[in-house]
Amino acid sequence: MNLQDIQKLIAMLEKSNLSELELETGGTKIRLSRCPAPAPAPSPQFVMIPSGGQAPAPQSAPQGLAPPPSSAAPAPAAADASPAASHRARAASEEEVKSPMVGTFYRSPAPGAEPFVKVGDRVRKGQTLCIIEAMKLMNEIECESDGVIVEILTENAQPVEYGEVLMHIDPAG
Amino acid sequence: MNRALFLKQYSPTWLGQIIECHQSLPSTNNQARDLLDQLGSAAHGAVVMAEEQTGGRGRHGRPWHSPRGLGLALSVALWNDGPADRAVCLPLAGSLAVLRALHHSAGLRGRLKWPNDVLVGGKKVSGVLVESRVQGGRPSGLVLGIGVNLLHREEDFPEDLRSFATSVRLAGGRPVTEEAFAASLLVALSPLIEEGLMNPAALVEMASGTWAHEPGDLLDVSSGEEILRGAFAGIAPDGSLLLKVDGHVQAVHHGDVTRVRPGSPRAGMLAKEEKRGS
Repeated sequence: MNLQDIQKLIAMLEKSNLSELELETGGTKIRLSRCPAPAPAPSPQFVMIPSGGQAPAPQSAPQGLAPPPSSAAPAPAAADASPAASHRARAASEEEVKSPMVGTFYRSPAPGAEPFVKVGDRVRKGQTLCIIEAMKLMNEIECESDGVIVEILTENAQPVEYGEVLMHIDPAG
Repeated sequence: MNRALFLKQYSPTWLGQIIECHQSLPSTNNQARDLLDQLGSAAHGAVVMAEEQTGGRGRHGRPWHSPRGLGLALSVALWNDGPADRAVCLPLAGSLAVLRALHHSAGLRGRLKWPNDVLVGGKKVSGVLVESRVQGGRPSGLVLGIGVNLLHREEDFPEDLRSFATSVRLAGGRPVTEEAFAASLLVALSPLIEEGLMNPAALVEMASGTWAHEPGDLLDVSSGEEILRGAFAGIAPDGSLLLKVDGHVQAVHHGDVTRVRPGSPRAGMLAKEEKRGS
């Protein structure tokens, strides 16, 4: 193994989601580790495999990692793609819509259907905003007051934690 | 569905203060929701039953096939004056009640596929869906919906469902009428709902030993367009599925178990059945 090989290994590690790589070949043993090691997530991350595909080794599917729960530090790539990454200034009057339980956030009643609400929509008290599903308990989250949806913080079909803020509504909008 | 015949076999408690029996409805769940809208907490325990649903649905709006005279669709309106997450094990209460009713009225032993499908011989005989509306921390209405296949012959199922679905008749159960099954189901359901709302972990404990999965079975859990793959490691006290993925045990709160492969020779036969039925 020469310097070029080691550089290649470093490049591979950087492109991957691996935190550590160990290789033994021809009497040479090399161990590469990201430093500092990534902080452990509060709960193990989900390893997702694209539907219908063959099972790749988990470490070869880094792009399939679901975003961690809100309490975990999001990976940079996930943060860029997530609406939660925006740091919009909030009006004091805005109300938060929170998840009443651990579950999965759905923006529409069925796959492919129109979302219940979009940013900018005027909503009325009692109107369904989204669904949180936990083990076939489908909770329709209803609007508590009239207003305008100013922000939706969670992607469709993503896990949410208890009390996680899902949307902001401006009652004065 | 004969109301008088049903009431000969079931004495209403808090469950069944209102009983509606219909030959046909678009959806018993929608009818129960209407009762909650009209009556609020006074609808708690109302039961809506139908022999046929013309617009029955399952999770995410999937249609639930329930032609007239072959099965039972039953929905219970409930009022939850506690926090919304208190209801998280109600679907399991429904499935456990179906297991007990299958055994009591038809002599069949079923098993549960997580989170709450009821299987007999590896095929689905019943589905349970709970729908609720939550507005902040206010008390809210819930509908527990149960569909059971009773008298279906193979040709009564759409072709694409035949390898996954079964009925009490197809599974070799004793002949049972809709009325008798409904009575048996409600008798079982009443204490399970109460337990489920008070102490969800006790319900999960009651369900232990009824799961179709064996420790170490390799499960695929589909959610949206993604599949989570791991080894079955049990059911957590909150009812979530524990899967060992890449050396870590994690709790799964949603999804459908779409594929099972045996994790040990002992589990092999069951897992093969499950694979056909999923």
